[in-house]
Amino acid sequence: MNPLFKKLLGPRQTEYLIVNHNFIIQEISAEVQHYADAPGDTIPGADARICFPELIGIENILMSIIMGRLPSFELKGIARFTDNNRPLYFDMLAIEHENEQDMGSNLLILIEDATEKMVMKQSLIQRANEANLLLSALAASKDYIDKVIGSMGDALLVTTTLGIIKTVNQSAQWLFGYSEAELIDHPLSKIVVEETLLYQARHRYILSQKELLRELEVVCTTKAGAEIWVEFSCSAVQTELEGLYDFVYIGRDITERKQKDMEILRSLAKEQELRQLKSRFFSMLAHEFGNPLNTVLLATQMLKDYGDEITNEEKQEYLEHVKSASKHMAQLLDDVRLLSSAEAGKLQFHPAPVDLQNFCGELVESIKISDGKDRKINFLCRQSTPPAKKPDRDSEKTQHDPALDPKLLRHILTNLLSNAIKYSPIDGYIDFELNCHNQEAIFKIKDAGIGIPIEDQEQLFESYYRAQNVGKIPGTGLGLSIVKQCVDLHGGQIEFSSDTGLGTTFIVTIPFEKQR
Amino acid sequence: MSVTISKKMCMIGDFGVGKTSLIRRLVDRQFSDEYLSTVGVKISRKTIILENTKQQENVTAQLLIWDLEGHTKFKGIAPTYLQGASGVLIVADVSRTETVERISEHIKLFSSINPKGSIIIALNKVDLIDEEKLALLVEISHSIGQDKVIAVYTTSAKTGKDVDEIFHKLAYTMVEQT
Repeated sequence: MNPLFKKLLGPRQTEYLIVNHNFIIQEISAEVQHYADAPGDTIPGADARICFPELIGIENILMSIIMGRLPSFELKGIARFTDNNRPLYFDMLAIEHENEQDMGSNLLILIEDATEKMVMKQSLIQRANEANLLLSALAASKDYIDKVIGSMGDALLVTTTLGIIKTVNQSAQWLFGYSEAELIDHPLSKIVVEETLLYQARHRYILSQKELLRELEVVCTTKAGAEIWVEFSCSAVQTELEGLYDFVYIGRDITERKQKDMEILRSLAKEQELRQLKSRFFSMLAHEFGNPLNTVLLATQMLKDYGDEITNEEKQEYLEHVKSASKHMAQLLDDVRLLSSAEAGKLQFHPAPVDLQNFCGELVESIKISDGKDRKINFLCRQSTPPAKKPDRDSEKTQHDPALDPKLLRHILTNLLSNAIKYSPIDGYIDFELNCHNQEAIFKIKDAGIGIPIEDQEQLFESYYRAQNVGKIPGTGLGLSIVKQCVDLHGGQIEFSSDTGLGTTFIVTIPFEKQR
Repeated sequence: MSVTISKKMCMIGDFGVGKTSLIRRLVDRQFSDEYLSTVGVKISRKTIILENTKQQENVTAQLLIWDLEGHTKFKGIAPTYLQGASGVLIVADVSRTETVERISEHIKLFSSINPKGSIIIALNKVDLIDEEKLALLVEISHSIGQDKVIAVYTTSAKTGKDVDEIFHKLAYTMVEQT
């Protein structure tokens, strides 16, 4: 090689080898073996492809250079080491080399050490690739978790300890009707009505590490304002900060199940009510029919056995007992029939003008006759609006009379007055007051009787129901039920106040014109 | 009579798919879980005896296996390294589907430089995924490779699955094409 050329290559620490067109080594630099794959074979006369296998496969390219068709060919960053602790890299450049003896061209292969540069590059690429692999694994993991959460049929919400929503899945958005943006960063109380329950559970967990509530059923509100039942199970997730937790709620819509439960409860209550009704009915039957039946049986037996021995007056007395007992039973049957037809909706409302003052007056008199003159009923009429006006003629009078159903009204007042008498002491006073104003008739019946215990008041209008303090006072438990049905048919109202031992006041309000 | 034929072949694919590990398993019969990125190129030799080839009864193929620096989003594969290669093993990692998706890019690059070169696909790290997912990836790889690819192998440098087979297949194909 040209000595000048050699001088130029020296300081650059560039090694070389010159090969001919058969790739046989012609000349080598002093240290070129350092980079050879087979250092022992890197000698003039040997095939260069044995010591530098990089040349295998690219013979055509190298020939093109020798023939001057291609200026050069370069391979950068060739590694030549087996021990990772002793790396060796070099760059290889092949160029045409004119033979000094003018015997055609050869190939000059320049080899430059690139170890320092490549080691630095390896270190950088290693870090970058490791970071990318980690990123790729994290992205794949996140993508997978997102898909799992997204495909969950149950609603998922993640909150902070304070109950601020951090994450929601698609099912949660569908269930509550809110978009993700409308829920994120908002308190859980936006959808959970009794959020305090969940709040307390979270705090209990943080303070005592006790297990969180599982299957907690709470009422939630949707964006549309509908109330739904949601069964939540909650678990705590430790955040990146020690002692700080996030809370994961998995919610399932159980509204349908709850509604079915409530329907079952209602049916059970109804069944219970019917059982009680049946029981009260049979109890009433035994008592109320038992006594008059016994009377009839006894009286007829007496007449049969001792008919010849007893006087006519005594016979008459027995027959009167039979008649009275039969009448009583007939009345009972009438009441049962009346109530059952009312409950079946068969009881009709037939309004007709009623002169209330006369009607009530006559009713009081008739009750006095039937229930005994000893009872004092003070009837007081206060009429401030029609029919208070004194009409000139009968036709005008009836025009101003309120249209009530006299038959139903009789049931109402007879029952209330009879009860007032029945449950009052023999010498007790009954106040019966009629007020007409604002197109309403208000009947007030006040007694000083035994009163109704507070625990019985709620069920007072139920059929066959009797208060606990009635003692031996006979009764069917039908009266007030009938009253209630008749008041309802008028579109009126009935209310009462009572103190045990002091008496009871019933107030019935009936409109002159029934509201349709 | 036996002849020795030297053939240059390249290993290409995304970074971290296991190119170096496959060579290590073939040449040194070893495997390491530790990831060490390759920079530049490293050439390994492997001699494989091929029986019943077109040319001779027995041929000794000396493979010059060029282990190239993997493709990253910042740097592609340098085409210079691929020049003069008779075949290529395109490697993908079945646990990173994006490396499988990039196979077509690698096929295109190699074919543009060596239109007659043999191409085989190695779906590596099969020990990491289930059979069902693997079957789907094989199907995808076949559809990506179409008629340009000789075969698709499912390999594992860790277990050694199909490592010898894939190099043998490529060596045989390269020698046959001579």
